[in-house]
Amino acid sequence: MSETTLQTQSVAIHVRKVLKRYGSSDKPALNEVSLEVPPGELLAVLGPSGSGKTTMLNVLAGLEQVEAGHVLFGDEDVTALQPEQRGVGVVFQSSMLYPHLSLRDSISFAPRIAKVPKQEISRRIEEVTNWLNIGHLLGRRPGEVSGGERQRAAIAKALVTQPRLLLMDEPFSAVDAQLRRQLRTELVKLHRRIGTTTIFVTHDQEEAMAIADRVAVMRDGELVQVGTPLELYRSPVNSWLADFVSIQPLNHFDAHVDEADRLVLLDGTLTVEGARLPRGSRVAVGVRPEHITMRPEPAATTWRILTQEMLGSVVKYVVRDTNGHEITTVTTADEMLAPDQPVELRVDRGRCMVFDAQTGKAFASASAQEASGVS
Amino acid sequence: MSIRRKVVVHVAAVVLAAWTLIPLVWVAIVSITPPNEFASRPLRFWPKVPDLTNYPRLLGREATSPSGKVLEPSGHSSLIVHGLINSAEVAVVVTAISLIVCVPAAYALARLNLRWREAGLLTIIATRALPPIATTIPFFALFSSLGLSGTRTGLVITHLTITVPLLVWIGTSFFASLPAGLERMARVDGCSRFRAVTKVVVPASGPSITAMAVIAFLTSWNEFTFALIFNTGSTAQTFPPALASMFFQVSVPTEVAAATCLGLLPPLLLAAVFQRYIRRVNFVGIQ
Repeated sequence: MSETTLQTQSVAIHVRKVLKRYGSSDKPALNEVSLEVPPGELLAVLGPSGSGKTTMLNVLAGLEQVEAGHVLFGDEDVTALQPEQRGVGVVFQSSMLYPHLSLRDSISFAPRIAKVPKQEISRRIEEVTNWLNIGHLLGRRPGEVSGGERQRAAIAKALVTQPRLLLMDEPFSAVDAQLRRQLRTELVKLHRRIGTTTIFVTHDQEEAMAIADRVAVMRDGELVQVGTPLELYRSPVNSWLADFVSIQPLNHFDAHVDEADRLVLLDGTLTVEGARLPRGSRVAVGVRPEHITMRPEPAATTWRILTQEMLGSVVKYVVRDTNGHEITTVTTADEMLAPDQPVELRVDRGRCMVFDAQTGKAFASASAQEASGVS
Repeated sequence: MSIRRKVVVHVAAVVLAAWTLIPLVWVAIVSITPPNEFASRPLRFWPKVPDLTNYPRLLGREATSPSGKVLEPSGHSSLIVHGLINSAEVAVVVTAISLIVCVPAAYALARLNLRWREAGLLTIIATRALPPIATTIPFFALFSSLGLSGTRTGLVITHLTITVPLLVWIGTSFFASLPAGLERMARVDGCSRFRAVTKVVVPASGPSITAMAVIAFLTSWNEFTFALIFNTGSTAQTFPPALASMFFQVSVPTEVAAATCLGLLPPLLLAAVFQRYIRRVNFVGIQ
């Protein structure tokens, strides 16, 4: 690996109670949002459309003025600074480049405006484009290269300014799924190499969970939860988020706690031992398909397999009980079970996400309690 | 596309091209037909001896005919030459002013969140529904009192009433089709708001602005109604009324044909050079 001569910087980002409204709208796009990003982190901002994630990126880039609150890069308050004064690199949606310029001219545009000496610009371009394997394409225009190459060029363009903060707005949305996975891996590698604080906006939960050190989930202009992918997966703060970060849709149950401290799901066709909740309380329970254990049992009478779907390394089954309730399970594809086969299901308390039946807020989950030694 | 559809489309294209081109080709052939041959019957499609003398003669020069006779400049040469020069001057000025006015106006209408944007655009284009003849009387009164009748300045003003709404309309759709984040990218790259337009938006819109310029030029070059009413007989007479007046004077048909071809030359050249830009315009929406 060649010595990195590109000066890479990384700063901590502090977002403090930022309020942003568009026009006369009463509903804020960002409702007093606070976020701390340590230097060098790769943070994904994840949310459905209209959640405020792109507004967040624009506020960080200085493209939108805030109504209240502060944005700090390290110790420097940048709230009032224009985009060109902030030292950020941005990869815009769909990896945009200047359509009328060659890749070289697009990439060198910002340093040329900043009057960086020509030699220095050439040196940086050479280094960055070597990393990204696009050195041979610099004479072409964006319309003459593939989606993946355009993507790499857009990243190169953001990096040649030696930014303190790298912002990416759905950069992979315009490329196909296979290439997207490959580019993700490359992005993670590149981030390891340069170490620049990076904030990555996406609506794709799989993408966010796959690449980010931490994920900040947004909804309706508010931060719902910030945590590592594993924390979000294991201990979502509410049932909406549990659904949102799931790759396979959750099984949702209305449940109550019986006298034997069991969680009773689906009129009792499925029970979970050791609820550790007040007797008689009514709760909402979410269980991931991969957390339902299923085994064939010829004598079983309650559950039968309805359909099966081969998904490569795993098989997805829909099973139905005698009352007509259906749930989804996912198991490894070691053994295929046939439709109509009677089965037994088992769910561990540690795998149940328990939410308040009214508000959808999470009760401290058993796994979180165990992890923190509370039990 | 199915074979049948392809055949239908191609046949339609050929018919349309023939419909448009045959009269032009016919005029061009007539313009190089010797007058005596043109008068003889039966009429031949292609002249026995092509005679190019009409062209230099219309441009005010002597010419030697195929039979070796030295011919005087045409009596209409001053009319035609001045017409061409006036047309060129008017069209160039109209094009320049149209671009200066319409590029920023169209950009603002396309990119800024303006109140009454839709209504404004519709009003602008609605002025195009008015036939030019409807505005001649007010213009006539105005120009008489301002002394603009029979001047190129006056004609430029009337032409702008046609080109400005047209170009604002076309330009708005052009700018709206630019990638949405272009200016944001320019801002992050260190441009001020104004510089983002001059350094990025305008260069990136080169083809569109070229198309706008060509349309403005052609509209002005071909404009007949205002030119006829305000400038006929004046020193500021442009080419279209000059050509028309040839019909009403004692004239040789082959000479009129040659004059027509001279007037067609600039638009045809422009169209040939810039056709790939003009093709982007379809006058309803763009692209």
